[in-house]
Amino acid sequence: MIPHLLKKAELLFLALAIIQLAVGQANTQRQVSGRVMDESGAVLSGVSVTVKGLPQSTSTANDGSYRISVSADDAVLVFSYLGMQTLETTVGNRSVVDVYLQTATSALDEVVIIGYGTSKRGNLTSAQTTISAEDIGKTVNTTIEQAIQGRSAGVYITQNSGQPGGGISVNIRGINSINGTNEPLYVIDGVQMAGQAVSFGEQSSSNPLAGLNPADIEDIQVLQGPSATAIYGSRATNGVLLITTKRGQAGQTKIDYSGQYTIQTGPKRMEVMDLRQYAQMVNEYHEIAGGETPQQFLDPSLLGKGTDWQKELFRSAPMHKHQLSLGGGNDRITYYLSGEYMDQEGIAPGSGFERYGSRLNIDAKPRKWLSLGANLSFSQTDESLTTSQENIISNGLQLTPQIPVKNQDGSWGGGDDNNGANQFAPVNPLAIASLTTNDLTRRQFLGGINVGIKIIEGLEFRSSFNTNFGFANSDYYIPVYKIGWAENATASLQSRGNLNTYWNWNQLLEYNKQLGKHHINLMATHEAQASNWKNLGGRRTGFLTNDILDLEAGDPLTASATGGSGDWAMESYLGRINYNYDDRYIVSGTIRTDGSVNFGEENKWGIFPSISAAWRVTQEDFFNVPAISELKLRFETGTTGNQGGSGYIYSPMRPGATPSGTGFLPSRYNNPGLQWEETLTYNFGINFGLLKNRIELEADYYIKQTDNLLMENPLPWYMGTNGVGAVAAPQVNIGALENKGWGITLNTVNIRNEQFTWQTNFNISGFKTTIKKFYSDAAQINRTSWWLQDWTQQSVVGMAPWQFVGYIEEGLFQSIEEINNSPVPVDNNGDRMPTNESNIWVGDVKYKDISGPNGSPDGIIDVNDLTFIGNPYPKFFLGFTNSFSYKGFDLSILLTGAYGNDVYNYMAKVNSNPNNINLSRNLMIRAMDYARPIVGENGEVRLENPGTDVARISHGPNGNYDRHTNKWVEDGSYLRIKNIALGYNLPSSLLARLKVLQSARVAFSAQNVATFTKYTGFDPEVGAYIGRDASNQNQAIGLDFGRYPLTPIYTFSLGMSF
Amino acid sequence: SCNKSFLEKPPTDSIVDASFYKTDDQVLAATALLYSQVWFDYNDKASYNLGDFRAGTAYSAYNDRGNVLFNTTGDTPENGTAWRSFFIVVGQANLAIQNIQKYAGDGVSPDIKRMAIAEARFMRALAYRFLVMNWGAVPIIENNLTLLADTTIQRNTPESVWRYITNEMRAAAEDLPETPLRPGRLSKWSAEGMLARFYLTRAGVVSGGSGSRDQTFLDSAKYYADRVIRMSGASLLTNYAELFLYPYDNNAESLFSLQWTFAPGAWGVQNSTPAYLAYSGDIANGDGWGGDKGATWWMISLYDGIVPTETGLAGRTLDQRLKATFMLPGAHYSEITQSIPGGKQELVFPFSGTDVNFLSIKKYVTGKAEDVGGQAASQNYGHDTYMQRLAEIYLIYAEAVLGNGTSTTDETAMEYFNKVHTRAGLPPREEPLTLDAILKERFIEFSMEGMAWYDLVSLHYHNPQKAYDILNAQDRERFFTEPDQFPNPTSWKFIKTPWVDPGTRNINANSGNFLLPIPTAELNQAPNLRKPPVDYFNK
Amino acid sequence: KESTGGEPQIRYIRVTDPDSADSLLVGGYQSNLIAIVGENLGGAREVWFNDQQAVLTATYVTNNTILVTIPSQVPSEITNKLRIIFANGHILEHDFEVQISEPLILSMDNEYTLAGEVATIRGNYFYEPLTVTFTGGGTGEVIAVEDDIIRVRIPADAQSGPITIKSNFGETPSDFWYRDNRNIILSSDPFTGWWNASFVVSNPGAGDPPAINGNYIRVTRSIGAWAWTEVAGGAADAMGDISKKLPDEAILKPEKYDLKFEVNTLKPYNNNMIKFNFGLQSEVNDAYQWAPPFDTGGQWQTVVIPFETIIQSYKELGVTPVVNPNGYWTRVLIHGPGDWDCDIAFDNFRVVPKIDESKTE
Repeated sequence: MIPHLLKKAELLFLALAIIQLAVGQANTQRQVSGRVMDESGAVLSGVSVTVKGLPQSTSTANDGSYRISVSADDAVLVFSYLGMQTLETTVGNRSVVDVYLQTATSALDEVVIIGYGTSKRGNLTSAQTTISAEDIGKTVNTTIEQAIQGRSAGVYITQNSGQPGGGISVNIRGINSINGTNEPLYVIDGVQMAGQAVSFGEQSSSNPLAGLNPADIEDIQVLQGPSATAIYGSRATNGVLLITTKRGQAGQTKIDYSGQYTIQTGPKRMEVMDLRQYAQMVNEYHEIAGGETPQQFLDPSLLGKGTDWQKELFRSAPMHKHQLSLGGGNDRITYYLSGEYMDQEGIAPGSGFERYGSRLNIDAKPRKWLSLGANLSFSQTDESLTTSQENIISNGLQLTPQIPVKNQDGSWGGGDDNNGANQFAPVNPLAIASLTTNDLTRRQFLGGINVGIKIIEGLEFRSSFNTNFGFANSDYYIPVYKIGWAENATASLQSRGNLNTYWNWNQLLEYNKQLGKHHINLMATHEAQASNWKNLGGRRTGFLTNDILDLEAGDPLTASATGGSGDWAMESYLGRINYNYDDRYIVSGTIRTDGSVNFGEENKWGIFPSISAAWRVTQEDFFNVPAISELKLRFETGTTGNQGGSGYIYSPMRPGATPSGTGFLPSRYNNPGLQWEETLTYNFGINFGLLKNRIELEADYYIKQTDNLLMENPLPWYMGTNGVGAVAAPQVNIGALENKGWGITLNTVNIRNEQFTWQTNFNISGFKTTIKKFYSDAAQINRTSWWLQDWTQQSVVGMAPWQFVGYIEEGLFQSIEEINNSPVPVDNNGDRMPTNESNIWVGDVKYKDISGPNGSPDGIIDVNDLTFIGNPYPKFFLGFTNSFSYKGFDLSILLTGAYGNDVYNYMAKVNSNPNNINLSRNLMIRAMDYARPIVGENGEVRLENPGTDVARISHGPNGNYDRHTNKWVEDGSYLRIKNIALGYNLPSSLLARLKVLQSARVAFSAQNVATFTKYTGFDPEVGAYIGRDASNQNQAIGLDFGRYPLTPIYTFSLGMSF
Repeated sequence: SCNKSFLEKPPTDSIVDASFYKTDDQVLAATALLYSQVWFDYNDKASYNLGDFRAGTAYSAYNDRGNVLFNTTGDTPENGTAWRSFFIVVGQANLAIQNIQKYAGDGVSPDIKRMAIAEARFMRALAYRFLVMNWGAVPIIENNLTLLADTTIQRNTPESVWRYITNEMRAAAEDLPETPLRPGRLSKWSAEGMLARFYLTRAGVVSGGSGSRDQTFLDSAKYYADRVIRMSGASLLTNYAELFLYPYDNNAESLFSLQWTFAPGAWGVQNSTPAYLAYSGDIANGDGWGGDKGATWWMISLYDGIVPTETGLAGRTLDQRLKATFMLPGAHYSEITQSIPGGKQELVFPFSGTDVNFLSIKKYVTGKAEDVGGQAASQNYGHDTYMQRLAEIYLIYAEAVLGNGTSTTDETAMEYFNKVHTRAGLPPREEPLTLDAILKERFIEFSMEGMAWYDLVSLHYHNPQKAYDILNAQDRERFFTEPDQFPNPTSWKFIKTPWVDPGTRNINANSGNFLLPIPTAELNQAPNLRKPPVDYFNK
Repeated sequence: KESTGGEPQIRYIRVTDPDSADSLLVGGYQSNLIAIVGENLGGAREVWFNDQQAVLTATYVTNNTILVTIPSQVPSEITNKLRIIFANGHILEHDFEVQISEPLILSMDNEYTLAGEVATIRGNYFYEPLTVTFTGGGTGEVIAVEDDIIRVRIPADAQSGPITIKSNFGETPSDFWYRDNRNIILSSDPFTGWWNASFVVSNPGAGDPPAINGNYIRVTRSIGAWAWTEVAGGAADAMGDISKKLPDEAILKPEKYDLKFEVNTLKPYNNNMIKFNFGLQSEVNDAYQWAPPFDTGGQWQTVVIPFETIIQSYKELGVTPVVNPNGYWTRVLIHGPGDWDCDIAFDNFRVVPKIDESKTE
């Protein structure tokens, strides 16, 4: 029954056929014309004019005029315009119909997209918020998730990197999974894409949604409530983002151009030592720890400031974007065609992002009973990932000022004998960026066709077929180089290709019936979807020239290939029933059953029901409070699921080369009994409107209970499931989570008069996640990042996930007595480490004795004293938008903020460690204040600088810089002026003279303008670690490893319509 | 509706277990990686970090300091990788046994089935030998499947682990063929060689530190050593250096080696260790990160002919093992290509520095790709890692005969000892054999083969104080080696680096830090490992 | 860093060590790091010493200082000036002498290299052009030069005595002597003593090592472990006058003397033990041990052993050599562990001063 996939060419052919059909129509109807104006009489252009129930549609021209054909006097014209109340009027015998549209004070009648259908906003029974094209247009976004931040309650967004095109974490309503993804499902014009938090390796910083052009988006619906999401069943636990792209409007062809020019500025400066200070520190270090001070450093007073690496590494970078779109059509066919080019250079050398895209959306209504549509979009992104953002910042801090950017002979500077830096000095990133190539090109085709057939009055059949093809290619080339000590002796090239295909075929029946005050809506759907992917990679070394980036140029003896492929499929049946009594009582029930390849026979199908109800109290006759224009109470409950990854019911054999042919080992313990992860949610909501809805409040409270959590069994190492050659732990259903959360959105129109309006959107939300159950009460799940000094975040029952684990510092030891009276580390026999200079000494960190083997303090500092020292999740987060308009000017200010989240300032920890002088690394200024134990007048040992919190120079067993402690945990609360945008629309009087221009707008915006925070690092919004070593199992959250920060961005943009 | 197979999608890029193990070749393929990949994490860095750095035969001046300074903690990286790796061996061996028993059908000959299971038992027993010697009590796991949901398993006492692994190794010896089925595969003699090793150590295990080893086990060690020497067909290579001269895999002296293969781009089936040992990229393949590694002062002082002087040590040695294990300034290696400014030459180990330099590692360093027929790339080498070679069996025999005596002059023991001793270019030893002499011989013979530490653990079982005394007398700090002339030196002087704090030159080994602590992370995730160990055989 | 426009000026030059900051330099050796202190130096782009450009590191140039290492290359044109070239083309000169070491002579691989053969001389600062002059005035043809090695052909008229090496930066006489004929205490020219006249070679045949100084001693036999093979020597009176050639001072101040001899291993010396008794009253069986391995690959080679080490080895066995006007017990003995297929030749055992006091500086 599954049709073969349609090729792109066939889709185009089909689109042409549709156009053909529409153009060929005969025309036997009379014309109606007129003008559309607002309350003040100003003409409105671009107003959509349609004939109710018929395909004809047009839109008003620059002078507000329109012309449309009607076939009968009882034809009803519908005028709709964003921000205005939709107006319907019967034509009668008029041939000229002029109308005045009222500003909409309420969007309640607005039609919004919901899963597998539409609904009037006023009749929504589930928690759902909308982000409009207008909102999106105000911020400078490389990719779409950036546009969402601060716009919607319940959506917690952190940008993992300020890198161009860099990845973003989107969390809707809390943490729903321990080791699975928490990213929502994206549905882009019917194409379902699961969000992805991390990918591995050299391309770890890239982002799966980077191909979408934010400017093509009409609106984004954020489905949060269980009833809204349950219709997506097993993929909806993390929420759903419904993304609808722009479509054409009937009427005069609208040509729009928009251009942006942006300057991104570099991050703020951290105080690190200059050359003179560094030399001083090197001298002091060797004085204490032994070793040779380079001759150049013997007298720091001879030195200058040296290289300022932050200055060298961070530059202001331009970005520009051009977009041209064509929209139009007639009452039979409308189209939207757009093309985009954007080019973003990174602040750090070696990073950049380019996108080319085009989109064609076509809708046709060749017959009364038939509608057809097609969406075609193609994009290509080119990313340069040479500067791995995980290192650029730390390099900026750690490169020593003695290393020049370039040597006198033009070669790249690196630690060498001439400048005295040793072989542990970080490698000059400017050199690496200019020498190596790490390019990723992705092409994506998203598209689909849909057909709608009216069978009888109220009964419609719709079917759509959507696909997503992706192709990616990457080249990672490292040439032969010698940069000081750092040497790469053999050139290597790694090329990878990836092909992925997704299709979704959906058949849907919908029935609407109005019987007096009863309105009933039924929907039933069958859906099948499948995807597959294939990777191919090759690697060779031994290139003799750096000019030819092709594997063929490498030494064939060194060739290696990697491959891999996989596929997935799911089949679903779903239905919905809506019952609406007089717009007063609204009840909705949905049910979906999904069958997935991810599960074995017994558990293949999962059922996800939901029910919701709303009571619009204001519609009741008894309710008569003039001030209250809207009061709606909502309740919903439903189940959503998560099916995890595929293949876990099997135990695949993994091949490996051996000297005598290929060997095989089981790669994973299978779990044939794997089940669906299920989330049951209760949601209580209220909508409240005052003063004709000039003040609107929406509030929700929810409880989400997730059971059968899908995760890799966190087995102890003795099970042999960790490491090379291991058999991976089975995927299991272990444990339960609970999220309790709330969200409040307040929209107000503060001032509105003919000249001036001021509107506000304020949203605030919070959630608390608690782990309810694991496979045992004592069980804990750790994410340990070996590359970050074994930084560990832990999940245990009764707490929010991913607590920071570390010791508590109680200052530095100030005297020998203090040491002798304090708990200290012990040797393996349990004997205290001796109090002397090579062991525990004045100036070492004093740790708090929290516990012991018996659960109470034992006078010993060891792993029993590890405790929770921070929580990466905020108590609440908010977005606050103020929009002003005055005559042709408009101004919008967006604030975003988060409160109560902790950040582990790993960067500060590493770069305050005076012992790292040994590694030819520069340090923060504060490291110079390391504790200096001295012998006082009375022979007592004390600190020369008792006020310091930087431990002494020592490699002793106290682990001053090895242990993670609360000293580095900082409050990550912040309030950011995310965006200020000022625009000006050129007056029509001016434009009228230009003829060609229908409208023009210039705008200036500043993004990431200022951040108010106590956090001492670059940027408190640190997100998740996405370096090359990260994976779902060990991704650090809320740890600042020197993340590529969000920096101020200034944009000038120009928009023109022709 | 769709047909049912739409929702059945086994992996497209791999075969699943139930469809495997169907032919002799498949069963052999299923145990082939037990010879390499499962040991990878151990071999990578833990092999020399634990086996040599902790033992004091070699050191790293700036890295791996926890192990070098005998401060291996629960967080030391190699503690974790080694622990994980040995349990990977155990887990995969268990699974191989179970899957072969479950899935192998009529297409698999009984001989192959028996042999493959014996291979897995051998590997598992050997992994436990490493586990028990590094960590003491460890949990014996013979079936991981039953433990997937069970978190109560306890550790087993070292005595019972030793009993278990000798039983297992004896069973493996029963079922393994007299001659390897394919080059590098295990034979009966691989297992009997390990039995000789196991019994020799176990003789001390049961002594409880009393200083007196169990005579029955000593006799067993001698029995198996004697059999392997007489019946295995293995023989010593005539020239020690050839043991490590590419290609040397599966030579006449090897009883069991990890079977690595050069596999560009792959990770886990290749030998990565040379990357960290080679002293410089000049003799490596984009790797060569061992510039700060080298022989310790103590190690170099062991070689006959390197004698104490007023300023330190000096001399030259007849012992060819020195050149084959460590590089002295001016040493010439024709088998290794060295990049020099503007070209290349046969390696002449450079002389550098004024008060510190390193006697870099030679053993297992095979040079550039061009030196090994193109079969090398960064962290990717094909040459094998010896897990046991015949030389050890000779020395086991001698030590088993010596037993609890202070010395022995047993003719065969002397003869066997001298086979190893004279093969190195030295004149035969004429004095009676003592434990010190045998230990010294082992330290020199197996230096940088990850052996010395286990020799010390073996000693520690019956004479802990002697083990501490050896360790605590070692100088593990930096020194300077100066040839009398360069190039073509004829002798060398060794001087301790003056500015190194003398207090850091020695370690303090004691019962508190001798064995490795179970990795911290493991104790956290498996609190059951804190329970007292139980005897595996009296559960 | 850029100069603010004033005239660049050098005030003084010093070393970086603050303890020696007040000692100002007018010159320095190759590869020494110096600090140039002055004003408006920020624009410096090049620094030259004589006609050699130094490597300048941008981070060590400030307006007031330049830290630079004197080039190790040898100048061909010597101006004794330091020149700084600035970005704007301005040139600043300053008196500064690069002190380049005169040749340093350490050793000659075979002090008895025959005339016409190529000798290898080790040392340092061998900067071409070089002349190697032998006692008697003959100069050798320089075949090859590395920094620390010269290969030179021995002229026909070379005579016994020190050699002199001259470069543009000075000349140095050697402490060793070519064909060193001083204080020879054992050479079998003629044979004296108790043992083994049969080992003496007077007329080498075709396949034999060439005679380098009359007779030489050659042992060709298989020697078992602990077999006792006296190669040469005997009691003082049996040795005759030759044993009195050992200078008294060598016994009294052994630190000033070396034992030297020429050796030629036709088969590698790779087992057993060679033991020297020199300067003793009677036998010391276990010292001095000249240990294997040693292999000259069939060439004559000079071996140098500090005499102090030899004396020390006797002292450790409880024997303290004393001056004896009647000469000394002398013995070369092969006695030790391991079988050795021995074919080794010796000549010219001598105890000579490390420093040639007589040489003209």
